[in-house]
Amino acid sequence: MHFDLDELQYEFRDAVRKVLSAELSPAHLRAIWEEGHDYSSTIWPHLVSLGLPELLVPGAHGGGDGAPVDVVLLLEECGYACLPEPIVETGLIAPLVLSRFGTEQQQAEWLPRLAAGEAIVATCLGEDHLVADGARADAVLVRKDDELHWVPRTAVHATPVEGIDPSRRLALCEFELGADTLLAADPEAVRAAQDAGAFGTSALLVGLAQRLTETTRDYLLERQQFGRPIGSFQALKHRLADVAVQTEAARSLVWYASYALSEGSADASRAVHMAKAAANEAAFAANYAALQLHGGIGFTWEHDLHFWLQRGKALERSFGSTAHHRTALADDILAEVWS
Amino acid sequence: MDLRLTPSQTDFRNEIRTWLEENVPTEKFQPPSTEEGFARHREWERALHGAGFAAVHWPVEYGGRGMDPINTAIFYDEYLRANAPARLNRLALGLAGPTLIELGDADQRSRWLPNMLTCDDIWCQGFSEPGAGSDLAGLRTRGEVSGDTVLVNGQKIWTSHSRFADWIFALVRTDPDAPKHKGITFLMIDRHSPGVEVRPIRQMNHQADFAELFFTDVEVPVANVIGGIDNGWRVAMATLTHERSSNLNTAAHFHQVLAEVLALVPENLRRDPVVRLQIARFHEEIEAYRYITLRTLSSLSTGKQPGPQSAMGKLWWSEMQTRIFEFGLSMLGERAELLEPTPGEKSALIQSYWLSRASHIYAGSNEIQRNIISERVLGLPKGN
Ligand SMILES: Cc1cc2nc3c(=O)[nH]c(=O)nc-3n(C[C@H](O)[C@H](O)[C@H](O)COP(=O)(O)OP(=O)(O)OC[C@H]3O[C@@H](n4cnc5c(N)ncnc54)[C@H](O)[C@@H]3O)c2cc1C
Repeated sequence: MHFDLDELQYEFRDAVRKVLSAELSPAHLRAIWEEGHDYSSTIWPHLVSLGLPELLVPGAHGGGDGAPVDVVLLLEECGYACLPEPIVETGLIAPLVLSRFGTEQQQAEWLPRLAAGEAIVATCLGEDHLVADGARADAVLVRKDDELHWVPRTAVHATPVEGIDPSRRLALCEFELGADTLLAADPEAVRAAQDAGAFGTSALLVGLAQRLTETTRDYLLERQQFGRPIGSFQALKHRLADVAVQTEAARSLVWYASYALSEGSADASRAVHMAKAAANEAAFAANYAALQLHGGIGFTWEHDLHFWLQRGKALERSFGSTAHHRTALADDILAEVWS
Repeated sequence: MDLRLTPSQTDFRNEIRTWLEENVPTEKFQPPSTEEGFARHREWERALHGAGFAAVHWPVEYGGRGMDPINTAIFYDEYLRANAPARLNRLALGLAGPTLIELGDADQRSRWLPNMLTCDDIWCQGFSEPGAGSDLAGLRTRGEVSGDTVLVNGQKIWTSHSRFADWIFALVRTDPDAPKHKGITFLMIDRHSPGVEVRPIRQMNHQADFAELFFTDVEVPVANVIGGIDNGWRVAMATLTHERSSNLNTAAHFHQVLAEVLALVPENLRRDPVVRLQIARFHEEIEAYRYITLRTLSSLSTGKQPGPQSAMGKLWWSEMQTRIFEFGLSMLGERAELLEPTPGEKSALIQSYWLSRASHIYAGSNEIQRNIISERVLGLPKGN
């Protein structure tokens, strides 16, 4: 019994961290935020050469044959860096769902493109048709009741809309669904897509909460009031300590979810519910503490903090709110207790 | 990452499980605070020891099984699963023993360790004083060294189980002129020696587990000093490390607590969305605790430096457990204040509730835990 990532997984994490900190500085992020929908990605080719988008594509289709446990630390890094690309959709949900449920033709057409980093995927799995990267994705994975559809760009009608986090490049989408777009008519497939999305987003949120904690820690050490660093005020120390605790708790559950998904354990969905709810809560706590402890400067456009604050608020709700996941978790565990 | 048991872990698990199934007494013992209860508990501890299970985490040469932290956790999961009796000598097996093994000399180990395992000696922890709680290094109980003896005068307080204890592992000040952390000595004191007086303190929950200890010219041999005179702070830090890694507060234990509380939810509230959300949160928090702990155990078992989560377990479980009991009290409604269990309660929840509140105070108060996390994990300035 061993609950830790292995050396190779940590090394890959370090490599991703190095590239993201060099290629996606706050100045880059700022440029992306200023450009919004018109932004053209300079970071994606770096992720491709690291081998990140291909990691979960089966080897037979040119991918890395990896499992969710291999990407969990990498996704934490993506959240830490506030990566604007739809990495969870493109690098996790799409390869997992296509390789498990896709038709042979869909697999042959798309998996090699995903492995080569040549396709960007967006998803529309909830009730709303508001889709991040909806207008620029090469394909959108769409849920309609118990069906999953793989909708190529030609069958997507996307109207870009402005959100508070411009880097998400939101669009309201309509889809031409038909027999040719059908990927699976199977609640299992829908659940697999939703689980992958919630898991991946929970890893992003843990990284994001970690970043907010570190940024705030740095500010507490630097900012002086009453003749001393504000980080010496115990009220602030304790507040940030609580955030750190929640973040580590969430991280522990997210790691477990990565394992349960990789093993195909019977409790994988349950593990994902816990991971996403806990990550939402950690990011929520980090968000409140970070803005409050920065004071006025944190409320400016000029300061970088808001990139993480706004991304966090969006991700807390995407792929399931805390209430959504806890309701599902309660249904699952209480079915055994109060039958 | 691999959460399956290895073949040797499976063997160990099966060995414990089988033994417990065959040996755990079916009747419930009186509490150890009664004479009869004490005798039964000690009999049980001796049976455990006979089977080699008294202290599985101790090295084999001292009567343990030399189990790593993962195997030790497996043992306690099985112990809980088997509904085995509460352990009698936790402070000896968990704190004093490991401290002796780490920092005692050969004579000291052979003198005290065997009787810890058989419960011939029960141990208590004499650290806190009226003027030294969180600020433990402010302690003032004097230890004057002259020749072969240390003459102890002063007072300890909140000393749990000291009424039944035979030995006290204590901190005394041997050099009042040295800086606060320097002049302290870690001393084993025979509780039955002349000049030691125990005065039970009645607790707010009507029980009397802790007590005051008064020392008047108590003569303790210098041979009872652990780790050298004036070197006690270092020894105490080793002891506190063991305290924080307590084996009994497992996820399985908290799931049992939650199950007890779930049994109290009335029929008409079982579909209540707010109630269900709360229960889901408790379940999630217990599981988070499971994996926080498992991360730490995995690092320790492979000789890796444990990550930041290792400083967070006590804060997490203590506050989580109280929320669970608080929820249970709200399910009992106005009957929650009754001292006798109401139908459905295994024992009066209000008692468990207050004991859980104490856990926010002892073993390093939760404020001290937050200081530690903000300073050692986050690197914020020391001090308040
Ligand atoms: C049930 C129970 C059993 C116990 N058993 C034992 C035992 O067997 N042996 C033993 O030696 N001791 C035992 N203790 C004592 C326990 O370790 C102390 O109560 C604890 O260390 C706190 O010390 P104190 O009570 O003096 O409170 P204080 O240290 O006076 O603290 C009072 C309040 O101030 C806060 N505070 C203090 N310093 C700081 C700071 N630097 N920053 C922020 N807040 C601070 C505390 O968190 C607390 O909220 C037991 C206590 C209880 C409740």
